[in-house]
Amino acid sequence: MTSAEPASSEHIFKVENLKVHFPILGGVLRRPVGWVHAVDGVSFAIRRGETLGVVGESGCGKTTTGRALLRLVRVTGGSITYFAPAEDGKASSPVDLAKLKARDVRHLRRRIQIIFQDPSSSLDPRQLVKSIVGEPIRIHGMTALKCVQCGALVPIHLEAPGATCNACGGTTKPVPLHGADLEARIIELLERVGLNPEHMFRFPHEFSGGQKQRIAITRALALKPAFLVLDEPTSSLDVSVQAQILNLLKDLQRDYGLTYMFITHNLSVVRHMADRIAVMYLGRFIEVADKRKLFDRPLHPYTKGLLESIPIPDPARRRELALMKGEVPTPVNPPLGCRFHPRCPVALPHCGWEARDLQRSLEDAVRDSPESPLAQGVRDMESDGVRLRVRLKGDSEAAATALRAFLDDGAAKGLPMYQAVEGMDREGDAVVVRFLNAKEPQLKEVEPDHAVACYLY
Amino acid sequence: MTDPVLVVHGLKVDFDTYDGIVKALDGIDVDVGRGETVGLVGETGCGKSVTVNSLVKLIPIPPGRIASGRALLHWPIRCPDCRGKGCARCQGTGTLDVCDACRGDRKCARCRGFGKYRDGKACRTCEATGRCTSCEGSGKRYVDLLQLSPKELQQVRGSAMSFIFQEPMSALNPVIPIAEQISETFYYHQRESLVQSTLAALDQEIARIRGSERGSWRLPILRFYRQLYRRMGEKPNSRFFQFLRRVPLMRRYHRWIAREMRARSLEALKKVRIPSPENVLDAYPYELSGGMMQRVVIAIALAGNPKVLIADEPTTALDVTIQSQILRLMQDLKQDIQTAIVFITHDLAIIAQVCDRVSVMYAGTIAETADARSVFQAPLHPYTRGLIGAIPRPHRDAPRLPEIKGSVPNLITPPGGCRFHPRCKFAKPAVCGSEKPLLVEALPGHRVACHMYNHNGHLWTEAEKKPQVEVVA
Ligand SMILES: Nc1ncnc2c1ncn2[C@@H]1O[C@H](COP(=O)(O)OP(=O)(O)OP(=O)(O)O)[C@@H](O)[C@H]1O
Ligand SMILES: Nc1ncnc2c1ncn2[C@@H]1O[C@H](COP(=O)(O)OP(=O)(O)OP(=O)(O)O)[C@@H](O)[C@H]1O
Ligand code: SF4
Ligand code: SF4
Ligand SMILES: [Mg+2]
Ligand SMILES: [Mg+2]
Ligand SMILES: [Zn+2]
Ligand SMILES: [Zn+2]
Ligand SMILES: [Zn+2]
Repeated sequence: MTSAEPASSEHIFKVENLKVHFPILGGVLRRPVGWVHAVDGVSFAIRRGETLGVVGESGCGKTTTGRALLRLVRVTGGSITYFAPAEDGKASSPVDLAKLKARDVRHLRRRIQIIFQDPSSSLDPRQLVKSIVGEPIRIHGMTALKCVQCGALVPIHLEAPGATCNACGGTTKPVPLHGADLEARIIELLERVGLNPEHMFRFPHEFSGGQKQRIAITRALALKPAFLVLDEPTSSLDVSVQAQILNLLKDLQRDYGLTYMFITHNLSVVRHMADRIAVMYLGRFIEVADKRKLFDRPLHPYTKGLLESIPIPDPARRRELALMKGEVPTPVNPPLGCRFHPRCPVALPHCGWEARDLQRSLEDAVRDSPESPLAQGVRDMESDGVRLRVRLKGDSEAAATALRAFLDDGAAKGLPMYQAVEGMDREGDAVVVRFLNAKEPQLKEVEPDHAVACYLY
Repeated sequence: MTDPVLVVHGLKVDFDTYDGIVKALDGIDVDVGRGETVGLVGETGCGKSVTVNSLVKLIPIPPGRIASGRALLHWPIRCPDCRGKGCARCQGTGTLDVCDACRGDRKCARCRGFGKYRDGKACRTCEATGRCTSCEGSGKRYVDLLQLSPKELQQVRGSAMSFIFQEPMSALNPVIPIAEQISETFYYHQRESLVQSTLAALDQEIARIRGSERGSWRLPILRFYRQLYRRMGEKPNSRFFQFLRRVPLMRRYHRWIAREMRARSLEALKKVRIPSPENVLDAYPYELSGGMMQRVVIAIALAGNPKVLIADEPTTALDVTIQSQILRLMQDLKQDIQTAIVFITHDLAIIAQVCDRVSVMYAGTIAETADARSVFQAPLHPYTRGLIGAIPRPHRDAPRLPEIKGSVPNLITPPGGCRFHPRCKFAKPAVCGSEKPLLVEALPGHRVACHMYNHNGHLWTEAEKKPQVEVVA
């Protein structure tokens, strides 16, 4: 992606051209009849200890990107290089998660954890908190450093080979976690996230939403993760509980040296949490920047619209909310060229105009004035990429002239879609309108720590 | 408040559950002025939805129970003597707008407006205010929604008061085209004016045919239809016409009114700025996106020209950019139509953006009510101070968010006295734990339920009482 990449060692993830496509199954044979391009060529790097925020509208592929890093979804293409931070003094070489076998991914997954939006559905309702947190510790055979003199455990974030006991300064040795030691570890973690030791013997339904999210965080922390994907961790929580959880996450990041990928659609929250922010639109990252740069000087027209769409929590600064036209298209058949072009207020002729766009405008024109020569002359239309086939009826000469006049009129008004028309050919009783072939804009670093994918830059 | 359209006073709602009685609402006071947008904010489970839903019995009863309170809706009626033409009784206005209880003199019927009895005891009916309780002392005609029969409530819902909910899909029938669903509202709530315009259209058609030679065979049929519609105009609620709609051949008469309804539906969709409204009319709900559906729901809600529009988290299920389209739409509509809006959300930024006045709820009580600016810039109630402080600001960086310690209490055994006292850092156990603070006017137009601002105020220092947003050191 960007040229000015720092050396890899300070990274924990380096993702290149990641693609995740989901099949749409149809027919009796359940064969794929189409593909959801959920993530469609995304490249980014996450630095150690930072928080990368990912924002975007519903369905743009944020969750899928996060899940791909854990290999919870089948990766269609690209590479995910994972630089595992050294643990217990042992460093390991970088691996490409996208190419790894499922069996090998499993043990890597301990250090890459995910926290979901809905804490209720991610906790087993039939298990006590003790086993919700304890079970993964047991499965992964986690150990703790125990003091040989007083028997206390070294707190999880201070564990290092040869660490001395916190309580008495004695020497320590690694022990497997079970029985009283396991309970001691669980209590240590519960207290760290603001719960009480007695909560160990309760079921998830006995907790409020915020408390459940704390339990989910405890469970992740127990495995000594290096990296956490936080997928809308506070979206289902209230403002005051949200503040508690966000503060907790910040404290944990500091104490445990965690790296976060923070997924949200809430721009205010991401501003509070992230160091860098990636704005996602329809399976692509369209702008990646340092948080301050992004908020002070957004470059991509979509980012600008997004920032102007958020209400400010201050009645004195009430403003006209931006009206972004249209809605997010489906990722099944994303627009050509720049995916944002049908909604872009400043689009250029070479931004990827295509047959579908013109078909929509023609249909509107036909409906608005059904008596016009154009409406009288159009039988039907067929879009195929950059070629729109308009079949004519009645006096086809007159109809073709009307169509040309319609296109010229649009171009004269300076509308980029009409300026993107390359030519018009007659084919029997049909006219084929050809558009310029456009490539998709790629992320380009326009200033340090600020990359944008838009032809304006 | 002068001239409120809706006054809710002392509303208490309980739910009988297996674990005990959930005291969901503990004396809620809300008033809504004409054309005003009132925000109702609070955390999940604090009773925002129950407050508005219990007004029109949208809560399940049982387990729900409206224990006490009143909910007065301003509702002038058409003068029954002259049927709206204007007569002596209605002073030529055609509508009657006088309180049934006090006949317009605004005085409490029990104490005759003195607020106390001759022996000096305060009147409990009017809480010693001396004002008529049926019209809140305005002398105008109000109805108490909580006392209405189900049939009357049916009339209120959709015409005087309409609702928009979080999930637009739940308000729409998935197997009926949009056009029919909007038409339904017109058919049930504006039948009279529909019949009037249908008759006008029929008259026009009859006149047109008379003037020309062709199609004169249709005249008797059209005249028959005209007769039918005139009957319908006289007895708009007759079951006979519902029945006729189902009879083959006879059904054709319905086309005329259906055409009228379609025209109005189209207008309604244009009003909410739906692109290509004609197409949307013939679409089914599932063919529309969430934002489009919500606009259809708004169109339906506005179709009956409601006095009060209740929007319960109307944008929570929508995306940011779609949310801003809907909020803009509601702001614009607010200026066009004189509808009061009760806007429920837990998103304080939205409240700041669209509301004139704000009521902050906490655990089934109203903590504070004031104009939006005061609530956001000079909140009085300790809970509001914390809540406003806890909002992450999109245009400001802060290392840590101020948080309110603890969590929302359970409503089966709510804390006694002030329900916020276990979490309040200003709490004085002597009063806060035992005495429930009432909503009092601490500053002009600014009402708050906290002992700091009532007769117990001397227990706190002036610095503590100073209105301010909690800031973290
Ligand atoms: N398992 C799956 N099978 C098929 N399609 C899927 C699957 N998971 C996600 N998708 C589709 O992929 C696209 C991206 O989904 P994703 O959940 O990543 O979006 P998101 O940005 O997280 O949205 P939200 O904000 O709503 O959580 C969507 O169109 C979704 O319908
Ligand atoms: N049918 C019911 N049975 C029992 N309790 C109920 C019922 N409906 C509501 N409640 C209780 O009433 C209280 C208020 O609920 P309400 O739905 O009004 O909250 P809300 O403020 O609208 O919350 P949200 O923001 O989550 O919509 C809650 O504590 C809830 O548990
Ligand atoms: S490339 Fe830039 S200008 Fe062109 S459509 Fe996309 S966002 Fe708009
Ligand atoms: S009444 Fe007491 S406990 Fe309640 S908010 Fe006021 S100071 Fe706090
Ligand atoms: Mg998601
Ligand atoms: Mg609710
Ligand atoms: Zn009269
Ligand atoms: Zn009265
Ligand atoms: Zn009285």
